[in-house]
Amino acid sequence: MQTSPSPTISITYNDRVVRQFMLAAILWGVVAMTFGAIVAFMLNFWQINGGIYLFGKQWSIEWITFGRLRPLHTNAAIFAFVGNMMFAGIYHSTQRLVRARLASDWLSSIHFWGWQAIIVAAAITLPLGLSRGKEYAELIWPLNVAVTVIWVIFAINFFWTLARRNEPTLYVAIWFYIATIITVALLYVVNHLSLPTSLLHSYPVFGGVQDALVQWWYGHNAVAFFLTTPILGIMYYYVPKAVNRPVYSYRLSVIHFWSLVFIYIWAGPHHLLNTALPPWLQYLGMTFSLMLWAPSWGGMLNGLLTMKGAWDRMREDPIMKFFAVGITAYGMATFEGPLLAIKSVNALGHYTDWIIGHVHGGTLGWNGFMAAGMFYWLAPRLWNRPLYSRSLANFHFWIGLVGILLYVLAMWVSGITQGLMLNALNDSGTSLAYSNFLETLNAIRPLMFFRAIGGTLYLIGFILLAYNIYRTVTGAETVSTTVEVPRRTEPDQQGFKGSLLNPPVIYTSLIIIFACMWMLGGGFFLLTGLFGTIFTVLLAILHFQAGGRRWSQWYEKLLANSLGFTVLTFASVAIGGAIQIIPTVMVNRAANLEGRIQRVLTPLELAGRDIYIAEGCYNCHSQMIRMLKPDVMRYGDYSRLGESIYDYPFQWGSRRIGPDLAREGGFRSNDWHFDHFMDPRAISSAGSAAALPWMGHGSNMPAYPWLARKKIDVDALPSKIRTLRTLGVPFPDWTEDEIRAQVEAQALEIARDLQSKDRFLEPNSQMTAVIAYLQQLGLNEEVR
Amino acid sequence: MGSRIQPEEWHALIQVLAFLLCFLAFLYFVIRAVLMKKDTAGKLASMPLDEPGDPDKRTHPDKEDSEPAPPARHG
Repeated sequence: MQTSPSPTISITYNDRVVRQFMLAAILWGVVAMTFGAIVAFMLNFWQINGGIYLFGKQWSIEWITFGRLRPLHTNAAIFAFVGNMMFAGIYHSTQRLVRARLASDWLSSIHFWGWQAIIVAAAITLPLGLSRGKEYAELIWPLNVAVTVIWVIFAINFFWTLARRNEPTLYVAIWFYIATIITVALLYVVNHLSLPTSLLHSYPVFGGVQDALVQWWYGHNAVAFFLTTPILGIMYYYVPKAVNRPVYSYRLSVIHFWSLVFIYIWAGPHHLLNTALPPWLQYLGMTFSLMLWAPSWGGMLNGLLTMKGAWDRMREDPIMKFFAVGITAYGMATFEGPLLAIKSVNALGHYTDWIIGHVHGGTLGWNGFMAAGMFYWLAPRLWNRPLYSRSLANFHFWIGLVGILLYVLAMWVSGITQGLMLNALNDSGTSLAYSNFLETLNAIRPLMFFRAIGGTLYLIGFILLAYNIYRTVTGAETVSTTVEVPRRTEPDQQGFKGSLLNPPVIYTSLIIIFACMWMLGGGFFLLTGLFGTIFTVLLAILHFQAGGRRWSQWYEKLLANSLGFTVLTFASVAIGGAIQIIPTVMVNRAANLEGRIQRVLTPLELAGRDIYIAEGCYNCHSQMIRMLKPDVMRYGDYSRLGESIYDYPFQWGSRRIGPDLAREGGFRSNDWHFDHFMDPRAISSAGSAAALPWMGHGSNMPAYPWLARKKIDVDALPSKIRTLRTLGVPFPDWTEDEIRAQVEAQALEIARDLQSKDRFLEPNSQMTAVIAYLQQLGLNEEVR
Repeated sequence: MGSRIQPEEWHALIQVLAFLLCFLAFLYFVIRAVLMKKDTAGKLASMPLDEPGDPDKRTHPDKEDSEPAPPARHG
């Protein structure tokens, strides 16, 4: 008996949008790395930090301070460079893995142009000081809305494509892409929940410890699900393609995926170790971070072993080189991350350059080199033309590798050096060995310089890539691949309902519910939970014995069902987030003030705080004295939860390029702050001599003379205070006139104080507001 | 430093619950992955290489000498 052949369908992939995203990624990669090199040099050369030094004088330019450009660098690297690279890889590989053209050319175009428009808007707003003040989440609220809309368009286009696929099986790379889309959407929306005060300004709905927790739940998982999981999907597709060998172990890739999805989302609190964050959350973050060692290394080994048997090609093939080092960098970064998440190690490394080295080992090595490998592999195929120069690509590899090594080694040594110096006590343990913060800064200046050189070498390598790709594609004919594939006739093997309403899911849900009642409830709930758990477990065992084979089939079908699979992934990451955040949100205001509550700001201090955030001061100064002896001896009594309860957003910081400011209030005089803002080196020049004469020493903070010229936006304050009242900050119900009168009175007081010490400052200047804000840091009220 | 907050009882339980939940799920997926049939795993592992009309497609599963990318024009 003859069977009729399967009907086939002709598909032309949408490779136009892949080319667009790839070229955009290269362009923005150059921009992001250029700004990275600039801000790195700024830390060594104050002459280019906040101005340009010419003819013996620094000409101030407020748009080019470290505080404003560092967010531009990080956002450009993450969202512009890796984002565009990721979209190129996802769109290219997904079409081929599911044997279908992208569902909508229109949505693809909106996705591309919308994303570029957001990047351009970010590149304009960040140097202008328009910022939400949260790391990697600095973009103002209208851009947050735009990002969400574009991400939803991306998701619709992706899932619609999956729904139209002609390949029933979902390859593991697609799993990683699904996890990326779902989790990034969840993280982004929760961490960007804000109440606008104007078209360009908003306050986050979370404050203090809640905001800290949500921010680092987002920040850590932005690394996990924006910089890692999509690139892992790309690794599982492009490495087999590049070496022309199947994945070493598909089984391992499945374990890799599920363990990352289940574990990663819990690890965020490791960014807040030894702080005022409740200890149970700190241990939760640390435990789950340590658990990440196994799956991360499993994935790394899977990637490297896929190359087994093709290592001889490494000598000639730059793509192999980039992928091999990229995957190795993933292994190194994911070894170092859990190591830094151990509380005692974190006590040394946190707030230092060690973290910067760790992050850049991942971004330069893993993201950057995987991107380069993918671009060199894609360009000849998308433009139907051989790569312009393989030698140039090889040179890019070597100069990039030297750049990474120089960068990462310098930062490791710098971080450990500064950490040891900041924590060092004298022999009796009663005083700090290096009491002047500047001594520790001077010690790491040569290392920061080597970092800048390493970053510049890496940038040069990437510019060579841009040139190589430019010469490859110029005048070349673009190609959109057309293939004949068997038409898929059957729908997903089980529908959405079938994915959820079935014995395994129902039994698991019931057991979780009853177990929660048993453990968390009392009286009736406790007994119901206890008996319900036992009864459901027994019932499930009996049911499984009767028809367990069908359960197994359910699992297999689920893995081929994109919608059911997506729901399962969403549930796993949502549970991880909810369990961390909900208890903290519930208990923050009630009982966990730790005996102190932050004093509510005056209107002038609030204006100063917003300027502090706009200038990006949090990029260099923390406001969190950890429960560590050296921290307390250096900065004062350790920070209590209640002392940042009204901070929207929180200002705990993540790096101390300058000292902690949590108890700065009243520590120094107004004229000291005035002089420091006008010329930081005239005030903070103490410390050991420069390691190299031309490297300078003393403070590397930019001068802020424009703060003395620019006026406070008093008109914006009523709206801001109203918004903060809505969020729960107990501001009195002031009228606009009362607000204005308070601003004037407090500003005049500061101006008069300065005048008495021969400093002249307009009372309505921004510097007055920032001084007022700094002078109240650490002020609090005792509560019982 | 004695006034540091004490976690409420149910907070401590959350860690245990979370760990158990994740460990069980992880264990389940590990078992499923390990029990995956060899030919299924092999077929899935080769999916990127089995694209229709792919010029890079290998001719034989054990041959490693195919060179997909066209030679570079310089060097």
